[in-house]
Formats: sequence, structure tokens, C-alpha cells
Amino acid sequence: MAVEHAIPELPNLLTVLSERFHDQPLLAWLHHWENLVFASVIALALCAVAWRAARRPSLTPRGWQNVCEWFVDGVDRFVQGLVGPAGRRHVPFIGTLFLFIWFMNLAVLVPGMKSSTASLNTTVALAVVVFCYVQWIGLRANGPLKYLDHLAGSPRGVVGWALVPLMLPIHVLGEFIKPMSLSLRLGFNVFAEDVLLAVLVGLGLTAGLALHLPIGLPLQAFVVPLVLIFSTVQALVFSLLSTVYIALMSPHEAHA
Amino acid sequence: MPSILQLDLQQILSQALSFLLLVWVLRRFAWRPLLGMLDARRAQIARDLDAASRQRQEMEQLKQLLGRRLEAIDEEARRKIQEAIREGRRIAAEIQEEARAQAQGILSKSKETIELEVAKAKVTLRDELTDMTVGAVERLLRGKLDAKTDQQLVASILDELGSSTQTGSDPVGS
Repeated sequence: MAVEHAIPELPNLLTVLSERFHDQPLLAWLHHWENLVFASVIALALCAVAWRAARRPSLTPRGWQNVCEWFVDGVDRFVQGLVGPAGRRHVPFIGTLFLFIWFMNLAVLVPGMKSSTASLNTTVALAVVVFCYVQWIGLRANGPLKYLDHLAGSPRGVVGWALVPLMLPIHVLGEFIKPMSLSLRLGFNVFAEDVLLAVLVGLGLTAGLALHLPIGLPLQAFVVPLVLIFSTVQALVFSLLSTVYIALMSPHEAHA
Repeated sequence: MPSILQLDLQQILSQALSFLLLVWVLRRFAWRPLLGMLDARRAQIARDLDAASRQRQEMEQLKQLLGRRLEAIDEEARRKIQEAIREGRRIAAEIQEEARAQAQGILSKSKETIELEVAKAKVTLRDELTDMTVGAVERLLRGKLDAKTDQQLVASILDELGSSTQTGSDPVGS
């Protein structure tokens, strides 16, 4: 188990290899980019499943296509329920975001893997993408003038225009706070889960040593269900809030 | 500093690009085909339901049409049966009338035959009576006759006449 700045973390394959072969620059480089590496593994796995499910789609689905269609239909209904019929074109973005975050959250349960979402580098990157996507949607759907009008709080009347110097910075700040809250919430929640798992694994190892057992006690098994639930909830919250931001930025008649 | 707080712009940009690439790949090779398939299936189901509804309506119309046709066929059958009964009765009456006429003809022909036979019998009887009378006269003329023999002869002739009168149909005529 790697101990870094007194915060325990579960060792993954790259940390073990880089500590074992510390003179290998490639392993050191992979260890430096481990979040991206594990995120790419998840992405490749998703691509493989998607390729298998959608390579020959049939009107009578079987196997993987059945499962994927069930998920696709669920995301489609979820997004269209929040954004309206125009939300169909955001379904791939939201669905991919949910799957990517969900499987990255769960990756910590696979021995040798790591939750890339336990790093702010990953969650900030995802939040920045969502931020850019939402602003692009707002500009494209409303046009520059209506977009600015929206940021200024849609001022109407003298009082409204008088409040623009106050409302505009607040709205702009709010737009920047959204990705910050998204990234910090996800990052710290997953990091806390990983730390909890690492603490329990360490405690189990210590207890095993104290009891002269050949292996540690699997104390982390008690929090695995919690990790499953929290990982799903965090992915859902990130996707849900992203969808809400898209809905708020879309023209109001689209989701009326 | 804990690892979670170590922000690295390169890593952030790399993660963002890898996510965008994943979105593009999945959108191109998974989401669009699967969403298209869902839409196609939805449209297919809607079309099938519409077709089923139309076919149900057509079946109802066909059923009503067949019901009306069956009623018309029943009515036609009843009418034809009534006509056949009337025709049968007419033919029966004709046959009856013809039979009656034929019977009448046979009866009248039989009467004529009987009358003819009676006439023939009368002629035959008359001829026989004549022959007998002639025979009796001849026997009277040829024989030696006395009063007693004459009386017996006359009596026997009268007996013969009496018996032939009993067997004949018209003694007055003889």
C-alpha cells in the first residue's frame, strides 16, 4: 500500500510496477499519467462493448444489443424528460459522461485498477468539457445577444437594466462555479471512498498480522456495497446536473 | 500536498481530449446506430399497430357485409322454398285434375264397354232364345204328340225359358 502525505491509497498495477522497477522511465512515465491510463482502459472497454452491441443492430435485439438498447432508451427518456424533445441530440454526450464516470468510479473495486475520478485532474477535465459544451449550446441555441441577455439575468424595465451590473457578474460567476462544484463534489467523494477502502484494507492487513494470519482480514468487503451505491450516485449526480445545466441554457420553449 | 490536489494542466487537457474522443467514437459507432434502431423499431411498431387497427376495421366491415349477405341469402332461400311449395302445390293440383279426368274417361269408356257387352249379350240371348224356340217348335212338329206329352213339352220349354230368364239380363226383351 502506498503511503503518500499520510493519506492512504490502494496500490494499483502501475504504482507497484514503478516501485518495483523504479529505474524504468516508461513505468515512471505511466505512473505519472496513471489517471489517463486507467481512464483510457475504461474508455477502450466501453468502446469494445459498444462495438459489439452496435456492429450489426437488428430490429429484434439479442444479447449485448438488448442491454445497450435498454440503457440507451433509459438515457434518452431521462434527457428528453429534462430538456424536452430537443434533448435527443445531447443523449450521446450525457450517456457517455455517465458511463465513463460510473466505470471510472467502480474501477477501484478491480484489483490493480484505480479510480481516475479520485483525481481532480480527471474531474476538472470532465467539468471543463461540460462547461464548454453548455456554453456552446447556449450560444448556438440562443445566439450571442440572447446568450448575453441570459447572462445578464434577462433584464426587463428600468429596474432590470439597473441591476445588470450586479446580475451579470453573479451569473458569470455562477457559470464558473458550476464546473467547480461538479469537479470538487465528484473528485472528493470518490477520493474519500478510495481512502476508506485503503484504510480498511490496511486495517485488515494489520489485524491479520496481529492474529498471525497468512492474509489480512477482508474488512473492506463491508464497504464494497457502499462504494457501489456511492459510485453510481456520484455518476448520476454529475450527469443529472450536467443535463440540468444544458436544460437551463437551452431556449425556454424547448423544455417548457 | 495530497495527490488529489495536484492539478496538472497537461493531464487535464489530455483527460478532456480523451473524453471528447470517447464521446465522438461512441456517438459515431454506438449511440447513433442504437438510437436510430430504437426510432426505427418505434416507427415499425406504430406502423404495425396502425395496420392491425386498419385490418380490424376492415374485418368488422367485412363481417357486417357478410352478415348482410347471409341475411339476403336466407331471405332468397325462404323465397325460393315458398315458390317451390307453391309450384309443388300447383303441380299436385294439375296431376290431381289430370288423374280425375283420366279416371272419368276410363269410367265413361268402361260404361260404354259394359253397355256394348250388354247389347251383345242381349243379341246373343235373343239368338239363343230364337234357336231354342225354333228347336222346340221343331221337336213339337216332329214328334207324335198327345195331350199329356204336349203339356210336358210345353212345361219343359217353359222351364228352359224360366231358367234362361233367371240367368239373362233382360227377360222382357227375350
